[in-house]
Amino acid sequence: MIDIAELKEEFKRDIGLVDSIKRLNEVKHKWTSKTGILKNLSKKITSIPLEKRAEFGKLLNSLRDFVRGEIQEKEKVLKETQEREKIDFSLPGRKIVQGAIHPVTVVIYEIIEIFNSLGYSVAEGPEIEDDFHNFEALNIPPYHPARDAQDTFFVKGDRLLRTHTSPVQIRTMLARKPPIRIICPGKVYRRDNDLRHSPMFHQVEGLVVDKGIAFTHLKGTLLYFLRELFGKGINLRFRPSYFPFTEPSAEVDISCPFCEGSNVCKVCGGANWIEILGAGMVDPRVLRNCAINPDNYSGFAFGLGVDRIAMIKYSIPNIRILFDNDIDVLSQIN
Amino acid sequence: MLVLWSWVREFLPSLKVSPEEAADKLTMVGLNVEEVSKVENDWVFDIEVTANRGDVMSHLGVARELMAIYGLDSLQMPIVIESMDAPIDKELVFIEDRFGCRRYKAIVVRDIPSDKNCSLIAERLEKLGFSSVNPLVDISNYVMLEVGQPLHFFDIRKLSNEKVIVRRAKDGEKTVSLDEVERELNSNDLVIADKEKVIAIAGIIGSASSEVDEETSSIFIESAWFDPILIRRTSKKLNLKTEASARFEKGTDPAIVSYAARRAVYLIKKFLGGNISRRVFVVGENVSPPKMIYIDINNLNQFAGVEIEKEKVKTILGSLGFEVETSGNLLTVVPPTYRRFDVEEKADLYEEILRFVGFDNLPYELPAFPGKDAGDPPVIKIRKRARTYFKSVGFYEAINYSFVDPTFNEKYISLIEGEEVELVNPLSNNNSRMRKSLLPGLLQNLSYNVRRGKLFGTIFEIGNVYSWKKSKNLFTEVELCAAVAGGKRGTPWDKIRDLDFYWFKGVIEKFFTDFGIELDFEESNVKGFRQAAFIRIEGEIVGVIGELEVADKRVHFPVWGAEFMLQKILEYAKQISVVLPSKFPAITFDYTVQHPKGVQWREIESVIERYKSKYLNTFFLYDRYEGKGVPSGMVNTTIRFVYQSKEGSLSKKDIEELHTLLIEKLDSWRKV
Repeated sequence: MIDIAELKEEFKRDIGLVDSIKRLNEVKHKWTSKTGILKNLSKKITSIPLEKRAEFGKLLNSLRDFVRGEIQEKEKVLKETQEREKIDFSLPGRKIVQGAIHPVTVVIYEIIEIFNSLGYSVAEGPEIEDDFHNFEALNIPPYHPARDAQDTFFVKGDRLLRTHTSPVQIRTMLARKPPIRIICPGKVYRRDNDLRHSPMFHQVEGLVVDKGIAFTHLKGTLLYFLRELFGKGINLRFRPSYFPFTEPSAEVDISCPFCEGSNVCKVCGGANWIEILGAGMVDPRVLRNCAINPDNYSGFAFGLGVDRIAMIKYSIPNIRILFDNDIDVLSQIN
Repeated sequence: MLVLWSWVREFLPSLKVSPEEAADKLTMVGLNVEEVSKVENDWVFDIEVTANRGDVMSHLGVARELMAIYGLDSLQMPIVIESMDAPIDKELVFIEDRFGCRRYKAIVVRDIPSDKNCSLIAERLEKLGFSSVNPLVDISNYVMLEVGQPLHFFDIRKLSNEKVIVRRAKDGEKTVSLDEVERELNSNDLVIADKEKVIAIAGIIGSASSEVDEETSSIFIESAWFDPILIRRTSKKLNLKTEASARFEKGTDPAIVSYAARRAVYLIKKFLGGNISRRVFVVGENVSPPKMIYIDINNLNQFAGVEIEKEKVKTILGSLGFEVETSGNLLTVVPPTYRRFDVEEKADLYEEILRFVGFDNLPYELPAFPGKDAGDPPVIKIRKRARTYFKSVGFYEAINYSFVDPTFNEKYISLIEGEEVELVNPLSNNNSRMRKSLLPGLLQNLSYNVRRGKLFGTIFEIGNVYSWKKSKNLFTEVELCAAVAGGKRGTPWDKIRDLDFYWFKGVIEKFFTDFGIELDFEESNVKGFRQAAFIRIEGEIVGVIGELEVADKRVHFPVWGAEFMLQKILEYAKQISVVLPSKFPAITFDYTVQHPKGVQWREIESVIERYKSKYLNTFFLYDRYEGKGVPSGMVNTTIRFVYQSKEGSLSKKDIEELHTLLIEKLDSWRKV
């Protein structure tokens, strides 16, 4: 005899475990398909004795109604849930809170990293300096024409705001003996204020003093450094120049990393060369001022304006934008 | 400096190169040609002259460099007057300051017709940006541009007698210069004078009283050598830079003094006419003679990093006018008279050699260094962590000028002692003081952003503040890290809106706890803040935090600010050691205390500290609520208590007794 009540319990267990449309379809197949349990039961009705057939039929109908009802109900619930949990992949993700580091700082860190990897250390010094460290020790005596290029802010009490980070080199050479390999990042000040000049800007200078340092070492170091910073494809050009603290001195240009000599290039203006830093072999007078014998030691030094490099790197047309600290600008730096 | 290609070519008739090529070559030996422009049928070079190369501030100087570049044998020098049959008159010039003026050539020319002109000279000058004044002045400028020797012509009629004196000015002595400005001089200034008055500030500018004009027919020609430092000092003091001073201050060629005067006479006679009446050449102290410099080829090669042949070195130096004698590897070199001011020792010669070998022709070689240098200062790491941290919690880094408006230092607190540092020559008053706090600058940045439509600001800066201790003349720079924040960030959808004070405090606290540092906050009245607390570490004040006073009405939300000394983190940072969590389960209770608003969290904390059971592992503020359902003036503070033991599982019984007592104590506020 077929126990309808037991089948009902079985169905309840089956439907209870359903948590997805897929599972529901399995249950549907098992119970209501052409080969399903309910169909099978209908077929078996002929094997039921006549007197019990009516009762069996009633029970079977009620089971069938129950099964169909439950399945329908489940289907509805499942569809509703699915609807509710449906992801709209086109909705914007919520904003992730993240600020930004200033572009000038980003460039300084890149430079420090490159030189750290070559074994250089960072050296720092005061921004309020004296004439000796900022000028005289660097072979710029009073009334030297080179002072014109570095119009100076003076501070009460015969100090000045350093016009370059070179005094850090002097302080380092006075404090310790070679070998010296340092880079000196920091703020510097010149009495200049226009679209290209800011009265405060940032420099990174480098200094190497050791036995047997040659001009070719300066060239090799700068090539490595500038290719790390601007990409392996760039080339360098060394133009003789003049700085009181280096001899020989050079202006170093890089081939424009943004164009191939196109006349419309905003960065190089079609010249294909961008002036990027000043460098040279440390002037023996400077070494002597720091009690280092130029007959035994030689060295090279270089210096670059970080703000200009940040402007080139991030296509910032005006140096003042760097000091506006506009969140809409800063937030684009990553 | 502008140079005319056709004029340079007059010195080098055999040179057959295009102006563009010549410009490139000049640039690559250090005379940076910034622009080559075509003017009529000629070319004008704009050359950037470095401070050491006074010798190239003329067409002759540029021609000399080209001669060396192209290995030419000689220069075609301009024609000068041949016969100087006029008598020598030693009374014509008296050099009182024999240090300041070491050579003085004077020639008096009379009977110069005033109806002539010399258009060739005027045209050349105009192409080089000089406006033609009158034929005589034009000739003096022409000779200066040609050979680099500035000349001065005085109108004899306007001198009190025909004798000039080179002397120092008297203190307070005045003269009206050619530019019609009256200038006061003192004994540091070298002047040219007649018996009565100053007729020129030596080497810089003539006086109006002896100026050559259209009616001048007799002139006194001055060609002299002045001490570069004296000229520069006066030029700086007077803030007056002229074509003449720009040349004298770099050191002119003492060998060309007389030649230049004779060149001027030649041009005057050729174009205008006139008769030489008297002349003299007076010498003061010696212009230091060119000294011998010794270089060893081996040292040169080591310095260069490549081998340069001795013959090549000789050729280069020879072509630049240096006298070279060799003995084995040793070279004895004497610079020409026009290079004695910038070529003084070995390194200077190395430069001459290398710039003509070509910097670009030397190889690249990365030096192989063993090991590392001394290592970065420790603050570098702290700074980098601070930047990364503040970025990660949504702050933007600002960089502000170190000099600020005087009111900034007045209105805001400074964490450093000492007086403010004042600039003697600021660009403007609102940039005249070195900052003593970073907060006013950041507040200004926030206003700037709000004015441009931003509804919030989260900005930080790391930088120095400055002070001065007058008694010791001691300048101090202290590195601070500061942050400001306020407003509503993002949209409701973003769920990152609320920038309230407790969020801000959390930002600051977390930065320190990452270094194992615990902070204390001590409420205090602080300049520039509406409400504030000093931040202390182990009792020491290291910073300040609170709600800033904001003057800008457009900033319509409260602004939180904090500032602290970065160096203190180095001093107090502790190595964090991990506390292993218990393996046994924890029991958690939340309890809501209702208390008057005036009861501070620290009071609640201290009650818990006093009555807690030994199994209370931790407790923290779960939430706070005031409003509907809470009597006014009261706050609901929900605290989460976590009980846990390292020895075993706890049952409720283990903690019930003390927990109940604690709750009772906490509830005592409810009864108030």
